[in-house]
This record gives sequence, C-alpha cells and structure tokens, in this order.
Amino acid sequence: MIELKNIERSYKTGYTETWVLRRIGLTIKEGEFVTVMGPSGAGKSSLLNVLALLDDGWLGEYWLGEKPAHKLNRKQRADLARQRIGMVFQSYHLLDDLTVAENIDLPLSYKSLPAKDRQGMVADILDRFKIVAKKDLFPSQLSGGQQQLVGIARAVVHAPALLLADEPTGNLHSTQAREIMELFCELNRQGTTIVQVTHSLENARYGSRIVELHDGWLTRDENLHAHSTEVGAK
Amino acid sequence: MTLQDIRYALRQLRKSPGFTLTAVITLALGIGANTAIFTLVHGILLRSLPVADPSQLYRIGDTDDCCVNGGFVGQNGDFDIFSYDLYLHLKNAAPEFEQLAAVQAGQNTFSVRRGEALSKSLRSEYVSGNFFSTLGIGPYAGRVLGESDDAPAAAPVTVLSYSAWQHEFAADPAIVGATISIQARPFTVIGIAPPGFFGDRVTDRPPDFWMPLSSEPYVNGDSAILHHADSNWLYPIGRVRPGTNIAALQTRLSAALRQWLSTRPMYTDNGGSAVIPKQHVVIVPGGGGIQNLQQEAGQGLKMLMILSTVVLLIACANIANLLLARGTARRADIAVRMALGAGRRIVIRQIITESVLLSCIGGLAGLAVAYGGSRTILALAFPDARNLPVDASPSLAVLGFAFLASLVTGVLFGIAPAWMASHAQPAEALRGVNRSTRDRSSLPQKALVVFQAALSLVLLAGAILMTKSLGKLEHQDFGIATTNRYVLHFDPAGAGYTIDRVPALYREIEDRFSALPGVSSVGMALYSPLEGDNWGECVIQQGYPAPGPDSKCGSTWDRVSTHFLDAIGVPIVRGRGFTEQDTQTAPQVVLVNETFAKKFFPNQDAVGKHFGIDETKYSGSFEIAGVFSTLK
Ligand SMILES: Nc1ncnc2c1ncn2[C@@H]1O[C@H](COP(=O)(O)OP(=O)(O)OP(=O)(O)O)[C@@H](O)[C@H]1O
Ligand SMILES: [Mg+2]
Repeated sequence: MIELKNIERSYKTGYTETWVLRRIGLTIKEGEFVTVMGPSGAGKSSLLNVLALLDDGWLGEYWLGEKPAHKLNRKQRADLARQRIGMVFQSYHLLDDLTVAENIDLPLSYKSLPAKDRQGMVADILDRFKIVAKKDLFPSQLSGGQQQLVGIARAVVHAPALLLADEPTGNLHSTQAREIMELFCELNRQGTTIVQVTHSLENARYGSRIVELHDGWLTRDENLHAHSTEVGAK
Repeated sequence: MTLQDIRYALRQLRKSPGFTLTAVITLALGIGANTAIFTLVHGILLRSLPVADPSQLYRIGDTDDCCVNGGFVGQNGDFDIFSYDLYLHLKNAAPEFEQLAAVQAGQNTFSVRRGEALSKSLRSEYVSGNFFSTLGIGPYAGRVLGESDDAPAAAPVTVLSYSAWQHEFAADPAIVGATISIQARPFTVIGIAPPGFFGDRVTDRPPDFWMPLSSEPYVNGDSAILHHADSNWLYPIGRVRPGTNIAALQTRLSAALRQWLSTRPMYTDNGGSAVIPKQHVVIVPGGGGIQNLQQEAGQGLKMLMILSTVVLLIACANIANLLLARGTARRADIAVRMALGAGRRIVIRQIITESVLLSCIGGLAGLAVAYGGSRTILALAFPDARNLPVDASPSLAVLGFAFLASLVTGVLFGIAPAWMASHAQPAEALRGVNRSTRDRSSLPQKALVVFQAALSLVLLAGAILMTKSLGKLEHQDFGIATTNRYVLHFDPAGAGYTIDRVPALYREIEDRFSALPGVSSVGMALYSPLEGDNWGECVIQQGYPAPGPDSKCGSTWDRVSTHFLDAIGVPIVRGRGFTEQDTQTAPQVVLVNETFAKKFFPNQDAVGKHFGIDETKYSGSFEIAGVFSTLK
C-alpha cells in the first residue's frame, strides 16, 4: 500500500537547516493499523503530512499503491489524495460555518459526485456513527468527542483506502478515546489501512504495529502480533 | 459556482457583520459613483435621438457655432452654419438627401403670452417647414409644421413642445387652434409635439416651441436676417438615401459651398478669393444629437469617469486588504478544505464567489447611490436647466452596467486573496492552526497599502489642483466692480415696443431706477459684462487699406448708456466718457479699451482717431472719444 524509500525533510530557518525526517524507509501493507509514536518534535506530524500528500518539500521515493507520488505535481498529488486518503486531525478542524451534514459532505463535494449519491452516502455515515440527530447542528453545538466523531465520519465518508489520523484523541478524555479507537478497529476490520499518531501506549495497542521516531530517525518498528524488531539508529 | 458556495459565502458574511457592512458601504459608494457617471454617459453621450431611424440622419457642419456669423470662419475654413440662401443652394446641390431641413443655430428667448395672462419667457427655434417630416415626427395633438407653413405668405403658426404644453399651458387641450402672442405678434398654435421629443439636439434648454423660418421677418421686422444672404445662422440636418457615399457627398457639398462663396462680394473682396479654395464642410452623423451638451458634458464626464474609476480601485484595494487581514482565520479554513481534497480551482472559486457576492450586495446598494448621484450631478452641472432632455432614471443598460461593474470589482478584489490562499501549503497552514501564528502582514498586503496610498495621493492632488483653479477663477479680476451691482434683463420687443418708442422707455427706466432710494448709479447696455455674449465686427481704420480675410481685425462691441462705465466701476484713462450731448444727431463717438488702442493705434494717441466697419468707405464713421481701462 505504502512504500517510503529514503524520505528526507528539512526546514530552513535563517541560515540553519533543521532535518526533521531522516532517510525514512517504511513499508505499510494493505489492511495494517500502524501507530507512529515518539517524543514531541520527533517528526511524527511531518511524516504524516508527507503521507497525506499535503507537503511537497520532501525528498526520496513515496509509492502510494502503484503510483509514484514523488513524480507527481501538486495537482496530481491533490487528485490522488482525494481518491485514496482520509484525514483526521487532533483539533478536529470542522468548518464552523457548516452543519454536521455539510461538513461530512465536504470531501464528496470535491469529487463531482451526483448530489443524490452524496446525500445517500452522508445519510449512511450519519447512521453508522449514530449522529443522525445531530446532522443540522453546527460544530460549536457539539462536545469534543462528538466533534471528533464528525471529523472521522468526514474522513471516511468517501471510503478512503488509507486513513491518516494525527493524535485523534489528544483532546479527548479516555472514555471518548476508547470509543474512537474501537471505531478505528472497526474500520480497519472492514479493510481500511490506518496510520495514526499518538502518545498513548494504550491507544497504540489497538493497532497491529508501532513505529517510533526520534529526532527524525525511525528507531523502532514493532509488530504487536509478532516479535519486535529494532532498527538500528546510526 | 454552486448553490452551496453561495450559501456558505452568505454565512461567512453574516458571521462578520462589521467587515461586511464596511465592505458593502465602500462598494456602494465606489460602484454607485461609477454607475451614476455611466447613467449620464448613457443618457447624454450614448443616446440616439427619439426620432425615426436616427442612423440615417446627417448634419452638414461638425461643430456648434452659435447664433449669427458673417464672413469667413476660423483658420481651417470649416463652415458650420449657413445663411438661408446658402442652405437652399446646398439643398439643391445634394439630391442624396431625401430631405434636408434647416434649424436655427442659436435659439431665442421670446415673450409668450396667452390672452391677458402674464407673459412667459420661452425658448424658441426657427425651423424649416420640412423639419418634422425630416425627423419623422408626427403630432401629439393637432398637426406639426409642414412645407406650406414655411412660405412668405403663410399665416404665422407655431408648434409647442409637449413639456411646454404641460408646464406652461397647464396641458390645456384647447391651446391647439388658439392664438398666442409671441414678441407681441399673434401666432396660431397648430399642434403639440410628442412627449420626449426635444428637437434634433441635446441641450440643457430644449425649445419650448418651433416656428417656421418664414416667420422670422414677421417677428424681427427690419432686423430680420432670413433674406440676408451673408448672415449665417442655420445648420442643415437631413436624411440621406440608403447607400449614400458620405465622403463623396461631403466633397461635392464643399465644392458647392465654394462655388456659392465665389459669387458673393462679401467673400471675394479684399483678397478673400484666395482663401475660398480651403473652405469646406464636414458631414457628421446627426442621429446622436451631437451637440453643445455632448461636447460640453463629454469633457467633464471623462474627467468624472477617471476619478470614479480611481475611487473604485481604491475601494478594491481597501477591501482586498481587509480580506487579506482576515486571512489568518480563513487560511486554516482553506487548509482544511485542501486537506480534504479541494483543488486550487475549487478554492479560488469559493473565495471569488464570496467576493463577488459581496460586491453584488454593494452594487445593489450602489444603485441607490447612483440614482441620487446622477440627479445631483445633473443639478450641479446644469443649474438653470429646464426639462433637461437627459433621462437619469435607471434603465436596463444602467442595471447591466452596475451588475458588470460589481462582477469585475468582486473579481478584482477577490483575486489577490484567492491567489494567496490557493498557493498556501496546506500542511503549513494546518500547523498554524494548532500553534501560535506569526501575524506579520504579508507582502501583497503591504503592496496593496502602497497602491492605495498612491492612488489616494493622485486623487488628493487632483482635488487640490481643481480647488485652486476654481479659487483662482472665483477671485479673478475682471476689471469691473461687482459688489452691490445687480443685473436686470429687459425685453421691450417682447412687450410690443417698437424701435421708435424704445429711447423714451430707456430714459424712463433709467430715471425711475435712479430715483429709487439706495440706488446710486444706473447704466444700460445691450449685453452686460460677463454675460459671455457680444457682437463682433471687423474694424477698418481710417487711412489704411481694407484688412484681408486672414487679418485679425475683429473686435467686439456693446451699445451702452451714458453712465454705464460709472455703474460698473470702470475708469476712463484717456480722453472723455460719454455725455448727455452724445445723442443720435451728434457725431458718432465711441470709447475703446486700452487693448484696442494698443492693437490698432500702437505708439499713438487713439483719442480723436477714426475707424469704421463693413467697407473702406465707411472707415471714418466713428471717432474715438476716450480710452477706458480694459475689462473682460
Ligand atoms: N514550518 C516549520 N519550520 C521550521 N521547523 C519546523 C516546521 N515544522 C516543523 N518544524 C520542526 O520540525 C520538527 C518536527 O516537528 P513535528 O511537528 O513533525 O513534530 P511532532 O513529532 O509531530 O511533535 P508533537 O508530538 O509535538 O506534535 C520540530 O523540531 C519542529 O520544530
Ligand atoms: Mg505533531
């Protein structure tokens, strides 16, 4: 599903160049549920942005399925992301001026689907996430957990093959976090490949694999259902 | 542009009412000003005459000369107004004109009275009998003038304009067939012209009634010019046959003009024959009513158009800046959309939808501004206009213009924010949402401020310059005293006075006015100073050969009463002023100003010298009695 070879990312600030991703090599197979961990500033969000095709400032090879993302331009990347990827944010990022239903409809509206189909898909998702009653409310009228539920609904409404989540439960308390994680497991069982960033080991256990970043280096890659592998840091 | 975009844009605007209100007011003023100007441009410059088939109408002569001319015109030999004889000559020479009418170039203000009612000062225009049929205008009531009305023996008749009928004669239908008095002479009203018809030209005071050319001698008596072949006072306008080659027609009419001129001593004498070859006419489309108003208003309107465009541009820059300043919040919004799959095109569309919606709301409010604005401008520009034939009410074209202006404006001020947003890196912008953002104003924002400031400076400089030159005009020294001086206009002829009774009348007016308490001086003149109108003649000095056609012998003159110069505070610098002894029977004396003295009698004493007008043999007619200080 995903193959990264020698991914590098740096930021230039003034005269100094700070490297935040260093020669990352990573293969993620279809149906995996990968958790990225590591201390603050290790480069987890940077990596996720590369995977989400939101960032263009990296070097190396990134194969998404059979598509060489490193050879695509901005527009082609945006098209590819639109087809394959769903994104869940730590601070939800719902649009304040749109209702729950309209927020969920957003990714569909960018895919030039007939309005009728879109309505059906939104209705399905609302139903599945049990938030039908909330569909005409605005985000400000929801609790944090409910907002993140909508955020996830929005990310998966167009049935993406890859779901990326950057600290999806960072702002939630543990019960809500557990519900969200169970939802992820459910989606994963149905075939969605998931990559999430989290600080919580408890959340990580819902997944099948943990990779760890330190100062931009990939330092650990552990398959939770097999024995762990250390990747030597040079 | 989808319905959803619009709905979302509306919510955005509602969410920040302060910004929306500011933007809408700014836009309403900007778009309103432009629409107001367009209303006038449309009403004055782009309109065509309310006559049948205006595109077929052509006028002989391209500029507006007024009133009555004699002799050659200007340096370029371009004839614009013609005598009655010359008009007939041209008409015979140009069968390409299906019909060719003649219209008086300068209108008159005549005293009109119905029965015992007080007389009214109304605008009149002499026209040839075929005027109405040439323009394809029928009557609203009664009938319009016909060829048979424009004949020496025809009964004196007149046609009222619709608005004169409404406003001056209380829309009384019995006026048709009634007799009214014009300059104390009876005329029969034969009909009323249709509403909206104001003649063949757009002026700020269209005629109230039309009279046939043949009635001019009837009104003016001895001073009539209809049969004075060298007095040019008519311009011809006509309908050409389809397919006529205008250039060829112009060449042939110019030849006809020269041929006619060469038969007139007025033009051939004193070396005039030499300049006849360059005399010509220019044929211009007459359907626009291309006249005074358009030429006068055109200049001012162009200026206003530039100013209002600059104002709108400033407004655009201003709003673009406001939008960019709001951008921090919007950036996050757009980053999320891009992260969810919105392409660049969609983002731009969304932002442009928002700005166009904003500018359309502004444009809607601007229509109200335009409606009031165009009326105000008209009132300011033509303070003494009566029934101005300019329609300042919103038409479909004006609505269209306002809509288009709104659209362009919206795109204009939306483009910078849209471009900025669509080129943001979504990853960067998303980061900015979580963390504190550096809120430094961006380069485009700074550029916009500079642009705005520069335009404002241009506007300000223009305004200051204009105010200065206005101030100069206001405080200009005209060489006369104006404080506590008042001007009255009398029209004895309109009241039925004949030439022989006029001197006694004037004496009585002068005596009675002088006797009024508080009146210290009374003077009378054919034209008051600063009126902008005067008679002109070519001066022939005694003992000099007659001046040629190109010589600058022209001088203006005014006929005044004994104490006129005292009354306007102009001193005599040499010789004497007029006295009671300068009567009709005494030798004819004149006063000239210093400029005249210097021009015709350089390095000599002008007092006691003689000059004349018209012909060399009259060069001793007038003796210069004194020189007064030059006034304007
Ligand atoms: N736009 C930027 N300019 C400069 N440096 C940046 C920029 N974005 C990220 N960095 C740096 O890159 C490094 C990695 O950042 P990143 O956001 O990927 O960390 P993270 O692992 O997600 O941390 P956290 O757990 O706090 O979210 C940090 O040191 C950060 O300062
Ligand atoms: Mg992070």
